[in-house]
Amino acid sequence: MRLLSYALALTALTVPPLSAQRPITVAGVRSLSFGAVLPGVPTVVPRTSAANAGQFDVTGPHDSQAALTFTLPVVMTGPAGATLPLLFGGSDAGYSQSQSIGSQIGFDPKQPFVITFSQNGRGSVFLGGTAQPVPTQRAGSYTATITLTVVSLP
Amino acid sequence: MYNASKLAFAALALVLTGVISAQGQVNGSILATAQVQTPITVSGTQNLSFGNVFPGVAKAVAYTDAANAGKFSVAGQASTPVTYSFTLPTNLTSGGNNLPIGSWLGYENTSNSTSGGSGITPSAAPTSSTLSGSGALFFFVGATVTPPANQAAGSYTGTVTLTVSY
Amino acid sequence: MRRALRFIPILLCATRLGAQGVVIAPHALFIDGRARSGSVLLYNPNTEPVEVSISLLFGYPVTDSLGRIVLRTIDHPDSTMRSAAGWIQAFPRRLTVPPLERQTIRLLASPPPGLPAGEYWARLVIAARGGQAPVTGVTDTAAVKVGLTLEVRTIIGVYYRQGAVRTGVAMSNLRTALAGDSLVVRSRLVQQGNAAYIGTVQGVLTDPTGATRGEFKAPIGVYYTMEPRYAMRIGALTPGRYWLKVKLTTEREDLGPEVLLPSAVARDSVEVGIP
Repeated sequence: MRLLSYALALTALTVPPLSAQRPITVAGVRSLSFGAVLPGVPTVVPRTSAANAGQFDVTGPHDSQAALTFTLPVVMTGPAGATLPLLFGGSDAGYSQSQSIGSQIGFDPKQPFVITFSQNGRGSVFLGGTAQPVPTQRAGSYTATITLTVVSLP
Repeated sequence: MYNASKLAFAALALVLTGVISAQGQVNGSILATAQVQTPITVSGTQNLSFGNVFPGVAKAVAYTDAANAGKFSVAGQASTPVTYSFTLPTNLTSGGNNLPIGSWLGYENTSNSTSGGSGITPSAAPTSSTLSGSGALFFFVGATVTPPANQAAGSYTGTVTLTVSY
Repeated sequence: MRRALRFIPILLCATRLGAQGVVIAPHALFIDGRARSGSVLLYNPNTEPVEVSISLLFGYPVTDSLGRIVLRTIDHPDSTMRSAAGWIQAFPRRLTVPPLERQTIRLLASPPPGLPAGEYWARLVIAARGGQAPVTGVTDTAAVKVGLTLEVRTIIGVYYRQGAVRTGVAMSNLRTALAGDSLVVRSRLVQQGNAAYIGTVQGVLTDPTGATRGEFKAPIGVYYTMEPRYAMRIGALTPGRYWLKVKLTTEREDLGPEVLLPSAVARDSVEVGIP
Protein backbone atom coordinates (compact mmCIF):
# COMPACT_ATOMS: atom_id res chain seq x y z
CA MET A 1 0.00 0.00 0.00
CA ARG A 2 2.79 2.36 0.90
CA LEU A 3 4.46 1.55 -2.42
CA LEU A 4 1.26 2.36 -4.24
CA SER A 5 1.03 5.70 -2.47
CA TYR A 6 4.60 6.50 -3.37
CA ALA A 7 3.98 5.52 -6.97
CA LEU A 8 0.90 7.70 -7.26
CA ALA A 9 2.65 10.62 -5.63
CA LEU A 10 5.58 10.25 -8.01
CA THR A 11 3.22 10.12 -10.96
CA ALA A 12 1.51 13.25 -9.79
CA LEU A 13 4.79 15.06 -9.69
CA THR A 14 5.40 14.32 -13.37
CA VAL A 15 2.21 16.09 -14.44
CA PRO A 16 2.86 19.71 -15.34
CA PRO A 17 1.30 22.31 -13.09
CA LEU A 18 -2.32 23.06 -13.94
CA SER A 19 -1.52 26.74 -14.40
CA ALA A 20 0.60 25.89 -17.44
CA GLN A 21 -2.15 23.84 -19.09
CA ARG A 22 -4.58 26.18 -20.86
CA PRO A 23 -7.50 23.89 -21.52
CA ILE A 24 -8.48 23.25 -25.06
CA THR A 25 -11.81 24.68 -26.03
CA VAL A 26 -13.74 25.07 -29.23
CA ALA A 27 -16.72 27.32 -29.74
CA GLY A 28 -18.98 27.71 -32.73
CA VAL A 29 -19.01 31.43 -33.50
CA ARG A 30 -20.84 31.86 -36.79
CA SER A 31 -22.99 29.66 -38.98
CA LEU A 32 -22.05 28.77 -42.51
CA SER A 33 -24.74 30.76 -44.22
CA PHE A 34 -25.67 30.27 -47.85
CA GLY A 35 -28.42 32.87 -47.68
CA ALA A 36 -30.94 32.92 -50.49
CA VAL A 37 -30.49 29.94 -52.77
CA LEU A 38 -32.09 29.35 -56.13
CA PRO A 39 -33.17 25.88 -57.24
CA GLY A 40 -30.68 24.46 -59.70
CA VAL A 41 -28.10 27.15 -59.07
CA PRO A 42 -25.12 26.13 -56.90
CA THR A 43 -24.20 28.67 -54.23
CA VAL A 44 -20.59 28.88 -53.14
CA VAL A 45 -19.49 30.42 -49.85
CA PRO A 46 -15.71 30.95 -49.75
CA ARG A 47 -13.99 30.42 -46.42
CA THR A 48 -12.82 34.03 -46.72
CA SER A 49 -16.37 35.40 -46.71
CA ALA A 50 -16.62 37.51 -43.57
CA ALA A 51 -20.41 37.51 -43.73
CA ASN A 52 -21.16 33.91 -44.67
CA ALA A 53 -18.26 31.60 -43.83
CA GLY A 54 -18.64 29.40 -40.78
CA GLN A 55 -16.30 30.15 -37.89
CA PHE A 56 -15.05 28.29 -34.84
CA ASP A 57 -12.74 29.76 -32.21
CA VAL A 58 -10.32 27.37 -30.54
CA THR A 59 -7.97 27.71 -27.60
CA GLY A 60 -5.25 25.47 -26.30
CA PRO A 61 -1.86 25.40 -24.66
CA HIS A 62 0.43 27.85 -26.38
CA ASP A 63 2.81 26.35 -28.90
CA SER A 64 1.12 22.98 -28.54
CA GLN A 65 -0.44 21.07 -31.39
CA ALA A 66 -3.95 19.86 -31.93
CA ALA A 67 -5.75 17.92 -34.63
CA LEU A 68 -8.87 19.37 -36.18
CA THR A 69 -11.51 16.99 -37.49
CA PHE A 70 -14.81 18.04 -39.00
CA THR A 71 -17.99 16.05 -38.98
CA LEU A 72 -19.55 17.30 -42.20
CA PRO A 73 -23.16 16.79 -43.26
CA VAL A 74 -23.82 15.79 -46.84
CA VAL A 75 -27.21 17.47 -46.91
CA MET A 76 -29.17 20.17 -45.16
CA THR A 77 -32.69 19.33 -44.08
CA GLY A 78 -35.68 21.49 -44.89
CA PRO A 79 -39.46 21.50 -44.97
CA ALA A 80 -41.23 18.16 -44.94
CA GLY A 81 -37.91 16.32 -44.76
CA ALA A 82 -36.62 17.76 -48.02
CA THR A 83 -32.85 17.71 -48.33
CA LEU A 84 -30.39 20.05 -50.01
CA PRO A 85 -27.00 18.58 -50.98
CA LEU A 86 -23.85 20.11 -49.54
CA LEU A 87 -20.35 19.86 -50.93
CA PHE A 88 -17.03 20.66 -49.29
CA GLY A 89 -13.96 21.10 -51.43
CA GLY A 90 -10.34 20.33 -50.70
CA SER A 91 -9.56 23.86 -49.52
CA ASP A 92 -12.85 24.90 -48.01
CA ALA A 93 -11.45 25.07 -44.47
CA GLY A 94 -8.86 27.49 -43.16
CA TYR A 95 -6.97 28.05 -39.93
CA SER A 96 -5.78 31.39 -38.67
CA GLN A 97 -3.42 31.70 -35.72
CA SER A 98 -4.19 35.40 -35.60
CA GLN A 99 -7.94 34.77 -35.77
CA SER A 100 -8.07 36.91 -38.89
CA ILE A 101 -10.27 35.75 -41.74
CA GLY A 102 -7.88 37.47 -44.11
CA SER A 103 -4.93 35.38 -42.99
CA GLN A 104 -5.73 31.70 -43.27
CA ILE A 105 -3.95 28.50 -44.12
CA GLY A 106 -6.31 26.44 -46.21
CA PHE A 107 -6.90 22.76 -45.64
CA ASP A 108 -9.22 19.95 -46.62
CA PRO A 109 -12.08 19.78 -44.12
CA LYS A 110 -12.57 16.10 -44.94
CA GLN A 111 -9.11 15.26 -43.59
CA PRO A 112 -7.67 15.75 -40.10
CA PHE A 113 -5.50 18.85 -39.93
CA VAL A 114 -2.85 19.56 -37.32
CA ILE A 115 -2.51 23.09 -36.02
CA THR A 116 -0.07 24.75 -33.66
CA PHE A 117 -1.54 27.15 -31.16
CA SER A 118 -0.01 30.59 -31.10
CA GLN A 119 1.68 32.18 -28.12
CA ASN A 120 -1.63 33.42 -26.82
CA GLY A 121 -3.17 29.99 -27.30
CA ARG A 122 -5.96 31.16 -29.56
CA GLY A 123 -6.94 30.50 -33.15
CA SER A 124 -9.89 30.48 -35.51
CA VAL A 125 -11.12 27.93 -38.00
CA PHE A 126 -13.12 29.09 -41.00
CA LEU A 127 -15.28 26.95 -43.24
CA GLY A 128 -16.78 27.53 -46.65
CA GLY A 129 -18.75 25.17 -48.85
CA THR A 130 -21.16 24.76 -51.74
CA ALA A 131 -24.91 24.28 -51.59
CA GLN A 132 -26.16 22.35 -54.60
CA PRO A 133 -29.94 22.67 -54.80
CA VAL A 134 -31.61 20.56 -57.44
CA PRO A 135 -33.84 22.27 -60.01
CA THR A 136 -36.93 21.06 -58.17
CA GLN A 137 -35.70 22.07 -54.73
CA ARG A 138 -38.59 22.82 -52.43
CA ALA A 139 -38.80 26.33 -51.01
CA GLY A 140 -38.06 26.88 -47.34
CA SER A 141 -35.37 27.00 -44.70
CA TYR A 142 -32.71 24.30 -44.63
CA THR A 143 -30.23 23.59 -41.85
CA ALA A 144 -27.57 21.09 -40.86
CA THR A 145 -25.08 20.80 -38.04
CA ILE A 146 -21.33 20.97 -38.59
CA THR A 147 -19.16 19.75 -35.77
CA LEU A 148 -15.48 20.48 -35.24
CA THR A 149 -13.56 18.13 -32.99
CA VAL A 150 -10.26 19.34 -31.57
CA VAL A 151 -7.89 16.73 -30.20
CA SER A 152 -4.97 18.09 -28.26
CA LEU A 153 -1.72 16.39 -29.19
CA PRO A 154 0.89 15.95 -26.52
CA MET B 1 -4.85 3.92 5.64
CA TYR B 2 -7.89 6.04 5.03
CA ASN B 3 -5.73 9.09 4.49
CA ALA B 4 -3.42 7.13 2.19
CA SER B 5 -6.37 6.09 0.05
CA LYS B 6 -7.56 9.69 -0.21
CA LEU B 7 -4.11 10.76 -1.27
CA ALA B 8 -3.94 8.04 -3.90
CA PHE B 9 -7.36 9.02 -5.26
CA ALA B 10 -6.37 12.65 -5.39
CA ALA B 11 -3.16 11.79 -7.23
CA LEU B 12 -5.05 9.64 -9.72
CA ALA B 13 -7.51 12.45 -10.32
CA LEU B 14 -4.59 14.77 -10.96
CA VAL B 15 -3.18 12.37 -13.53
CA LEU B 16 -6.51 12.17 -15.32
CA THR B 17 -6.78 15.93 -15.37
CA GLY B 18 -3.35 16.12 -16.89
CA VAL B 19 -4.37 13.64 -19.61
CA ILE B 20 -7.50 15.58 -20.46
CA SER B 21 -5.51 18.75 -20.63
CA ALA B 22 -2.75 17.37 -22.77
CA GLN B 23 -4.63 14.93 -24.98
CA GLY B 24 -8.23 16.08 -24.59
CA GLN B 25 -10.89 16.14 -27.20
CA VAL B 26 -13.55 18.75 -27.39
CA ASN B 27 -16.30 19.44 -29.85
CA GLY B 28 -17.98 22.57 -31.07
CA SER B 29 -20.79 22.94 -33.56
CA ILE B 30 -22.21 25.48 -35.92
CA LEU B 31 -25.13 25.38 -38.32
CA ALA B 32 -25.13 25.41 -42.06
CA THR B 33 -28.17 27.33 -43.25
CA ALA B 34 -29.81 28.12 -46.56
CA GLN B 35 -33.08 29.66 -47.63
CA VAL B 36 -34.39 28.19 -50.85
CA GLN B 37 -36.61 30.57 -52.75
CA THR B 38 -38.81 29.56 -55.63
CA PRO B 39 -37.84 31.67 -58.63
CA ILE B 40 -39.63 32.82 -61.72
CA THR B 41 -37.85 33.37 -64.98
CA VAL B 42 -39.26 35.13 -67.98
CA SER B 43 -36.90 35.13 -70.93
CA GLY B 44 -36.83 36.32 -74.48
CA THR B 45 -35.19 33.36 -76.13
CA GLN B 46 -35.21 34.40 -79.78
CA ASN B 47 -35.54 37.81 -81.34
CA LEU B 48 -38.12 38.40 -84.03
CA SER B 49 -36.04 38.76 -87.15
CA PHE B 50 -37.11 39.83 -90.62
CA GLY B 51 -33.68 39.94 -92.16
CA ASN B 52 -33.75 41.83 -95.42
CA VAL B 53 -36.85 43.52 -96.69
CA PHE B 54 -37.36 45.41 -99.91
CA PRO B 55 -39.14 48.75 -100.30
CA GLY B 56 -42.70 48.26 -101.44
CA VAL B 57 -42.75 44.54 -100.56
CA ALA B 58 -44.45 43.44 -97.36
CA LYS B 59 -42.76 40.66 -95.47
CA ALA B 60 -44.33 38.41 -92.87
CA VAL B 61 -42.69 36.20 -90.29
CA ALA B 62 -45.09 33.58 -88.98
CA TYR B 63 -44.98 32.50 -85.35
CA THR B 64 -44.32 29.03 -86.68
CA ASP B 65 -41.08 30.20 -88.29
CA ALA B 66 -38.62 28.34 -86.11
CA ALA B 67 -35.67 30.43 -87.17
CA ASN B 68 -37.13 33.93 -87.17
CA ALA B 69 -40.23 34.10 -84.94
CA GLY B 70 -39.94 35.83 -81.60
CA LYS B 71 -39.87 33.37 -78.72
CA PHE B 72 -40.38 33.81 -74.99
CA SER B 73 -40.28 31.30 -72.20
CA VAL B 74 -41.60 31.36 -68.65
CA ALA B 75 -40.39 29.06 -65.89
CA GLY B 76 -41.90 29.00 -62.43
CA GLN B 77 -43.99 27.06 -59.98
CA ALA B 78 -46.10 24.30 -61.48
CA SER B 79 -49.73 25.05 -62.31
CA THR B 80 -49.43 28.68 -61.30
CA PRO B 81 -51.92 31.04 -62.95
CA VAL B 82 -50.30 34.03 -64.62
CA THR B 83 -51.49 37.04 -66.53
CA TYR B 84 -49.60 38.08 -69.63
CA SER B 85 -49.70 40.85 -72.16
CA PHE B 86 -47.56 42.17 -74.98
CA THR B 87 -46.43 45.68 -75.71
CA LEU B 88 -45.98 45.92 -79.45
CA PRO B 89 -44.50 48.60 -81.65
CA THR B 90 -46.44 49.99 -84.58
CA ASN B 91 -43.30 51.27 -86.22
CA LEU B 92 -39.69 50.20 -86.27
CA THR B 93 -37.16 52.98 -86.39
CA SER B 94 -33.85 53.70 -87.99
CA GLY B 95 -32.62 57.13 -87.08
CA GLY B 96 -35.55 59.35 -87.83
CA ASN B 97 -37.20 56.92 -90.24
CA ASN B 98 -40.12 54.63 -89.50
CA LEU B 99 -41.09 51.28 -90.90
CA PRO B 100 -44.64 50.09 -90.20
CA ILE B 101 -45.17 46.76 -88.49
CA GLY B 102 -48.45 45.06 -87.62
CA SER B 103 -50.67 42.00 -88.13
CA TRP B 104 -49.28 40.45 -85.00
CA LEU B 105 -50.06 36.81 -84.43
CA GLY B 106 -48.98 34.58 -81.61
CA TYR B 107 -49.18 31.21 -79.98
CA GLU B 108 -48.95 29.99 -76.43
CA ASN B 109 -48.08 26.51 -75.33
CA THR B 110 -46.93 24.66 -72.25
CA SER B 111 -44.30 22.94 -74.37
CA ASN B 112 -41.67 24.50 -76.60
CA SER B 113 -43.60 23.87 -79.78
CA THR B 114 -46.09 25.59 -82.06
CA SER B 115 -48.43 22.65 -81.99
CA GLY B 116 -50.63 21.39 -79.22
CA GLY B 117 -51.16 24.84 -77.75
CA SER B 118 -53.43 27.68 -78.77
CA GLY B 119 -53.27 30.76 -80.91
CA ILE B 120 -53.28 34.15 -79.24
CA THR B 121 -53.71 37.75 -80.26
CA PRO B 122 -50.64 39.52 -78.92
CA SER B 123 -52.28 42.91 -79.19
CA ALA B 124 -55.16 41.86 -76.95
CA ALA B 125 -55.70 43.00 -73.38
CA PRO B 126 -53.94 41.11 -70.58
CA THR B 127 -54.84 37.45 -70.74
CA SER B 128 -54.63 34.65 -68.24
CA SER B 129 -52.81 31.39 -68.62
CA THR B 130 -51.43 28.66 -66.41
CA LEU B 131 -47.95 27.23 -66.18
CA SER B 132 -47.65 23.55 -67.00
CA GLY B 133 -47.34 20.77 -64.48
CA SER B 134 -43.60 21.30 -64.72
CA GLY B 135 -43.91 25.07 -64.44
CA ALA B 136 -43.32 26.02 -68.08
CA LEU B 137 -45.00 28.29 -70.59
CA PHE B 138 -43.87 29.40 -74.05
CA PHE B 139 -44.94 32.20 -76.35
CA PHE B 140 -44.27 32.61 -80.06
CA VAL B 141 -44.94 35.82 -81.99
CA GLY B 142 -44.84 36.81 -85.61
CA ALA B 143 -45.77 39.95 -87.52
CA THR B 144 -45.71 41.66 -90.90
CA VAL B 145 -43.66 44.65 -91.92
CA THR B 146 -44.92 46.82 -94.76
CA PRO B 147 -42.16 49.07 -96.05
CA PRO B 148 -43.43 51.65 -98.51
CA ALA B 149 -41.83 51.96 -101.92
CA ASN B 150 -39.80 54.93 -100.75
CA GLN B 151 -38.56 53.28 -97.56
CA ALA B 152 -35.19 54.74 -96.65
CA ALA B 153 -32.31 52.33 -96.36
CA GLY B 154 -31.10 51.38 -92.90
CA SER B 155 -31.31 48.96 -90.01
CA TYR B 156 -34.74 49.19 -88.41
CA THR B 157 -35.22 48.06 -84.85
CA GLY B 158 -37.93 47.92 -82.21
CA THR B 159 -38.81 46.13 -79.01
CA VAL B 160 -41.45 43.52 -78.23
CA THR B 161 -42.20 43.40 -74.52
CA LEU B 162 -43.85 40.49 -72.76
CA THR B 163 -45.22 41.24 -69.30
CA VAL B 164 -45.96 38.31 -67.04
CA SER B 165 -47.64 38.84 -63.72
CA TYR B 166 -47.67 36.34 -60.91
CA MET C 1 -24.04 28.65 -105.79
CA ARG C 2 -20.96 30.16 -104.28
CA ARG C 3 -22.98 33.22 -103.30
CA ALA C 4 -25.69 31.15 -101.60
CA LEU C 5 -23.16 29.24 -99.56
CA ARG C 6 -21.64 32.45 -98.35
CA PHE C 7 -25.01 33.56 -96.93
CA ILE C 8 -25.71 30.47 -94.87
CA PRO C 9 -23.59 31.30 -91.83
CA ILE C 10 -25.06 34.79 -91.65
CA LEU C 11 -28.62 33.51 -91.63
CA LEU C 12 -27.85 30.90 -89.00
CA CYS C 13 -26.70 33.67 -86.70
CA ALA C 14 -30.27 34.87 -86.46
CA THR C 15 -31.23 31.78 -84.48
CA ARG C 16 -28.34 31.96 -82.06
CA LEU C 17 -29.35 34.92 -79.98
CA GLY C 18 -28.83 34.43 -76.27
CA ALA C 19 -31.82 34.41 -73.93
CA GLN C 20 -32.72 37.74 -72.42
CA GLY C 21 -34.07 37.57 -68.91
CA VAL C 22 -33.15 37.04 -65.31
CA VAL C 23 -34.07 34.54 -62.65
CA ILE C 24 -36.07 36.28 -59.95
CA ALA C 25 -36.50 34.98 -56.44
CA PRO C 26 -38.60 34.91 -54.47
CA HIS C 27 -41.66 35.19 -56.64
CA ALA C 28 -43.58 36.72 -53.75
CA LEU C 29 -41.94 39.01 -51.22
CA PHE C 30 -43.25 39.33 -47.67
CA ILE C 31 -42.01 42.30 -45.62
CA ASP C 32 -42.35 42.29 -41.86
CA GLY C 33 -43.55 45.63 -40.52
CA ARG C 34 -40.91 45.48 -37.81
CA ALA C 35 -38.05 45.10 -40.28
CA ARG C 36 -39.57 47.32 -42.97
CA SER C 37 -37.22 45.89 -45.57
CA GLY C 38 -36.89 42.97 -47.88
CA SER C 39 -34.85 41.88 -50.84
CA VAL C 40 -35.23 40.20 -54.18
CA LEU C 41 -32.45 38.24 -55.77
CA LEU C 42 -31.73 38.52 -59.48
CA TYR C 43 -29.54 36.00 -61.24
CA ASN C 44 -28.45 36.20 -64.83
CA PRO C 45 -28.05 32.65 -66.19
CA ASN C 46 -27.11 33.90 -69.65
CA THR C 47 -23.83 34.67 -71.32
CA GLU C 48 -24.69 38.31 -71.98
CA PRO C 49 -25.31 41.13 -69.51
CA VAL C 50 -28.92 41.99 -68.80
CA GLU C 51 -30.16 45.51 -68.18
CA VAL C 52 -32.79 45.63 -65.47
CA SER C 53 -35.10 48.38 -64.33
CA ILE C 54 -37.35 48.21 -61.27
CA SER C 55 -40.63 49.91 -60.48
CA LEU C 56 -43.66 49.41 -58.26
CA LEU C 57 -47.35 49.62 -58.88
CA PHE C 58 -50.56 48.71 -57.08
CA GLY C 59 -52.61 45.79 -58.25
CA TYR C 60 -54.04 42.47 -57.24
CA PRO C 61 -55.44 39.38 -58.97
CA VAL C 62 -59.10 39.24 -59.76
CA THR C 63 -61.19 37.08 -62.05
CA ASP C 64 -62.95 38.18 -65.20
CA SER C 65 -66.44 37.11 -66.22
CA LEU C 66 -65.09 33.81 -67.54
CA GLY C 67 -63.29 33.00 -64.32
CA ARG C 68 -59.83 33.72 -65.67
CA ILE C 69 -57.39 35.22 -63.21
CA VAL C 70 -56.06 38.60 -64.32
CA LEU C 71 -54.10 41.31 -62.59
CA ARG C 72 -56.12 44.44 -61.88
CA THR C 73 -53.82 47.43 -61.71
CA ILE C 74 -54.87 50.74 -60.23
CA ASP C 75 -52.80 53.78 -61.08
CA HIS C 76 -54.12 55.99 -58.31
CA PRO C 77 -55.37 53.87 -55.42
CA ASP C 78 -57.42 55.76 -52.87
CA SER C 79 -56.94 55.58 -49.14
CA THR C 80 -59.40 52.75 -48.72
CA MET C 81 -57.24 50.40 -50.75
CA ARG C 82 -54.50 48.33 -49.26
CA SER C 83 -51.80 49.86 -51.39
CA ALA C 84 -48.19 49.91 -50.30
CA ALA C 85 -46.96 51.01 -53.72
CA GLY C 86 -46.68 54.62 -52.67
CA TRP C 87 -44.40 54.05 -49.72
CA ILE C 88 -42.17 51.17 -50.69
CA GLN C 89 -39.06 52.00 -52.65
CA ALA C 90 -36.67 49.74 -54.48
CA PHE C 91 -32.90 50.19 -54.64
CA PRO C 92 -31.36 50.27 -57.12
CA ARG C 93 -33.95 50.98 -59.75
CA ARG C 94 -31.60 50.48 -62.67
CA LEU C 95 -28.79 48.01 -62.85
CA THR C 96 -26.92 45.66 -65.11
CA VAL C 97 -26.55 42.04 -64.08
CA PRO C 98 -23.38 40.55 -65.55
CA PRO C 99 -23.44 37.01 -66.94
CA LEU C 100 -23.75 34.28 -64.32
CA GLU C 101 -23.81 36.82 -61.50
CA ARG C 102 -26.34 37.84 -58.87
CA GLN C 103 -27.61 41.21 -57.78
CA THR C 104 -29.88 42.05 -54.90
CA ILE C 105 -32.73 44.52 -55.06
CA ARG C 106 -33.57 45.96 -51.66
CA LEU C 107 -37.02 47.19 -50.81
CA LEU C 108 -37.45 49.72 -48.04
CA ALA C 109 -40.85 50.60 -46.62
CA SER C 110 -41.77 53.94 -45.11
CA PRO C 111 -45.38 53.41 -44.10
CA PRO C 112 -47.46 56.37 -42.99
CA PRO C 113 -47.68 56.92 -39.23
CA GLY C 114 -50.53 55.13 -37.53
CA LEU C 115 -50.94 52.56 -40.27
CA PRO C 116 -53.61 50.13 -39.04
CA ALA C 117 -52.69 46.50 -38.61
CA GLY C 118 -53.05 44.41 -41.71
CA GLU C 119 -51.43 43.48 -44.94
CA TYR C 120 -50.69 46.04 -47.65
CA TRP C 121 -49.90 45.16 -51.22
CA ALA C 122 -47.78 46.31 -54.09
CA ARG C 123 -46.45 44.74 -57.26
CA LEU C 124 -42.80 44.82 -58.13
CA VAL C 125 -42.12 45.19 -61.84
CA ILE C 126 -38.78 43.86 -63.04
CA ALA C 127 -38.05 44.73 -66.64
CA ALA C 128 -35.11 42.98 -68.25
CA ARG C 129 -33.56 43.20 -71.65
CA GLY C 130 -30.36 42.02 -73.15
CA GLY C 131 -28.02 44.13 -75.17
CA GLN C 132 -29.22 45.42 -78.51
CA ALA C 133 -29.53 42.47 -80.82
CA PRO C 134 -27.69 42.73 -84.10
CA VAL C 135 -29.98 43.24 -87.04
CA THR C 136 -29.21 40.40 -89.34
CA GLY C 137 -29.40 40.44 -93.07
CA VAL C 138 -27.43 40.14 -96.21
CA THR C 139 -25.36 43.26 -96.16
CA ASP C 140 -24.40 43.46 -99.78
CA THR C 141 -27.84 43.21 -101.35
CA ALA C 142 -30.39 44.66 -98.97
CA ALA C 143 -31.07 48.28 -98.43
CA VAL C 144 -33.47 47.70 -95.53
CA LYS C 145 -32.80 45.35 -92.62
CA VAL C 146 -35.29 44.69 -89.84
CA GLY C 147 -35.04 43.06 -86.43
CA LEU C 148 -36.84 43.33 -83.10
CA THR C 149 -35.42 42.95 -79.64
CA LEU C 150 -37.38 41.16 -76.95
CA GLU C 151 -37.93 42.62 -73.52
CA VAL C 152 -39.55 40.86 -70.61
CA ARG C 153 -41.32 42.34 -67.63
CA THR C 154 -42.03 40.18 -64.63
CA ILE C 155 -44.48 41.33 -61.98
CA ILE C 156 -44.40 39.75 -58.55
CA GLY C 157 -46.39 40.39 -55.38
CA VAL C 158 -45.09 42.37 -52.42
CA TYR C 159 -46.88 41.98 -49.10
CA TYR C 160 -46.20 44.35 -46.22
CA ARG C 161 -47.47 43.05 -42.90
CA GLN C 162 -48.20 45.57 -40.17
CA GLY C 163 -48.96 44.27 -36.71
CA ALA C 164 -51.29 41.32 -36.23
CA VAL C 165 -52.41 39.83 -39.51
CA ARG C 166 -54.88 37.08 -40.11
CA THR C 167 -56.50 35.56 -43.13
CA GLY C 168 -59.21 33.21 -44.22
CA VAL C 169 -61.52 32.49 -47.10
CA ALA C 170 -65.21 31.86 -47.44
CA MET C 171 -66.33 29.60 -50.26
CA SER C 172 -69.85 29.57 -51.67
CA ASN C 173 -71.86 28.93 -54.82
CA LEU C 174 -69.81 25.90 -55.85
CA ARG C 175 -71.03 24.83 -59.25
CA THR C 176 -69.97 22.72 -62.20
CA ALA C 177 -70.54 22.43 -65.92
CA LEU C 178 -69.50 19.87 -68.49
CA ALA C 179 -67.29 21.13 -71.30
CA GLY C 180 -66.13 18.43 -73.70
CA ASP C 181 -64.06 15.90 -71.80
CA SER C 182 -63.67 18.20 -68.82
CA LEU C 183 -65.63 19.30 -65.80
CA VAL C 184 -65.50 23.04 -65.25
CA VAL C 185 -65.59 24.09 -61.61
CA ARG C 186 -66.31 27.54 -60.27
CA SER C 187 -67.08 28.94 -56.85
CA ARG C 188 -67.21 32.28 -55.15
CA LEU C 189 -64.28 33.02 -52.86
CA VAL C 190 -64.26 35.91 -50.43
CA GLN C 191 -61.15 36.84 -48.49
CA GLN C 192 -61.51 37.13 -44.73
CA GLY C 193 -59.40 38.95 -42.15
CA ASN C 194 -56.90 41.68 -42.95
CA ALA C 195 -54.46 39.78 -45.17
CA ALA C 196 -54.61 38.06 -48.54
CA TYR C 197 -55.48 34.39 -48.53
CA ILE C 198 -52.46 32.63 -50.04
CA GLY C 199 -52.94 28.93 -50.41
CA THR C 200 -53.88 26.02 -52.61
CA VAL C 201 -57.21 24.96 -54.07
CA GLN C 202 -57.86 21.27 -54.64
CA GLY C 203 -60.82 19.51 -56.15
CA VAL C 204 -61.65 15.82 -56.33
CA LEU C 205 -64.46 14.15 -58.24
CA THR C 206 -65.54 10.79 -56.88
CA ASP C 207 -67.95 8.21 -58.20
CA PRO C 208 -70.62 6.43 -56.13
CA THR C 209 -68.02 3.90 -54.94
CA GLY C 210 -65.77 6.65 -53.67
CA ALA C 211 -63.18 6.18 -56.40
CA THR C 212 -61.47 9.30 -57.70
CA ARG C 213 -62.46 10.08 -61.29
CA GLY C 214 -60.87 13.48 -61.67
CA GLU C 215 -58.95 16.06 -59.71
CA PHE C 216 -57.24 19.41 -59.92
CA LYS C 217 -54.85 21.37 -57.76
CA ALA C 218 -53.58 24.92 -58.17
CA PRO C 219 -52.05 27.72 -56.15
CA ILE C 220 -54.41 30.58 -55.38
CA GLY C 221 -54.38 34.04 -53.87
CA VAL C 222 -57.65 35.66 -52.81
CA TYR C 223 -57.34 39.39 -52.20
CA TYR C 224 -60.95 40.51 -52.16
CA THR C 225 -63.52 38.46 -54.04
CA MET C 226 -63.06 36.19 -57.02
CA GLU C 227 -64.73 33.35 -58.88
CA PRO C 228 -61.94 31.37 -60.53
CA ARG C 229 -62.59 28.71 -63.11
CA TYR C 230 -60.87 25.33 -63.02
CA ALA C 231 -61.21 22.51 -65.50
CA MET C 232 -60.48 18.91 -64.66
CA ARG C 233 -60.23 16.28 -67.34
CA ILE C 234 -62.68 13.50 -66.60
CA GLY C 235 -62.92 11.72 -69.95
CA ALA C 236 -65.95 9.56 -70.63
CA LEU C 237 -67.71 8.79 -67.37
CA THR C 238 -70.57 6.39 -66.85
CA PRO C 239 -73.78 8.35 -66.47
CA GLY C 240 -74.74 8.76 -62.86
CA ARG C 241 -74.31 10.83 -59.73
CA TYR C 242 -70.85 11.93 -58.69
CA TRP C 243 -69.55 14.14 -55.91
CA LEU C 244 -67.17 17.02 -56.26
CA LYS C 245 -65.29 18.06 -53.15
CA VAL C 246 -63.30 21.27 -53.14
CA LYS C 247 -61.05 22.51 -50.38
CA LEU C 248 -58.75 25.47 -49.86
CA THR C 249 -55.76 25.23 -47.57
CA THR C 250 -52.97 27.64 -46.70
CA GLU C 251 -50.34 25.14 -47.77
CA ARG C 252 -47.97 26.03 -50.57
CA GLU C 253 -44.90 24.18 -51.77
CA ASP C 254 -43.44 27.24 -53.41
CA LEU C 255 -43.46 29.41 -50.29
CA GLY C 256 -41.74 28.84 -46.99
CA PRO C 257 -44.07 28.03 -44.10
CA GLU C 258 -42.77 31.06 -42.21
CA VAL C 259 -44.53 33.43 -44.60
CA LEU C 260 -47.80 31.54 -44.89
CA LEU C 261 -50.61 32.66 -42.62
CA PRO C 262 -52.48 29.70 -41.18
CA SER C 263 -56.20 29.43 -41.57
CA ALA C 264 -58.90 26.84 -41.19
CA VAL C 265 -59.47 24.65 -44.22
CA ALA C 266 -62.40 25.84 -46.32
CA ARG C 267 -64.48 23.02 -47.80
CA ASP C 268 -67.49 22.65 -49.98
CA SER C 269 -68.99 19.88 -52.07
CA VAL C 270 -71.62 19.50 -54.73
CA GLU C 271 -73.33 16.65 -56.49
CA VAL C 272 -72.50 16.30 -60.16
CA GLY C 273 -74.84 14.59 -62.56
CA ILE C 274 -73.23 12.98 -65.60
CA PRO C 275 -75.87 12.39 -68.31
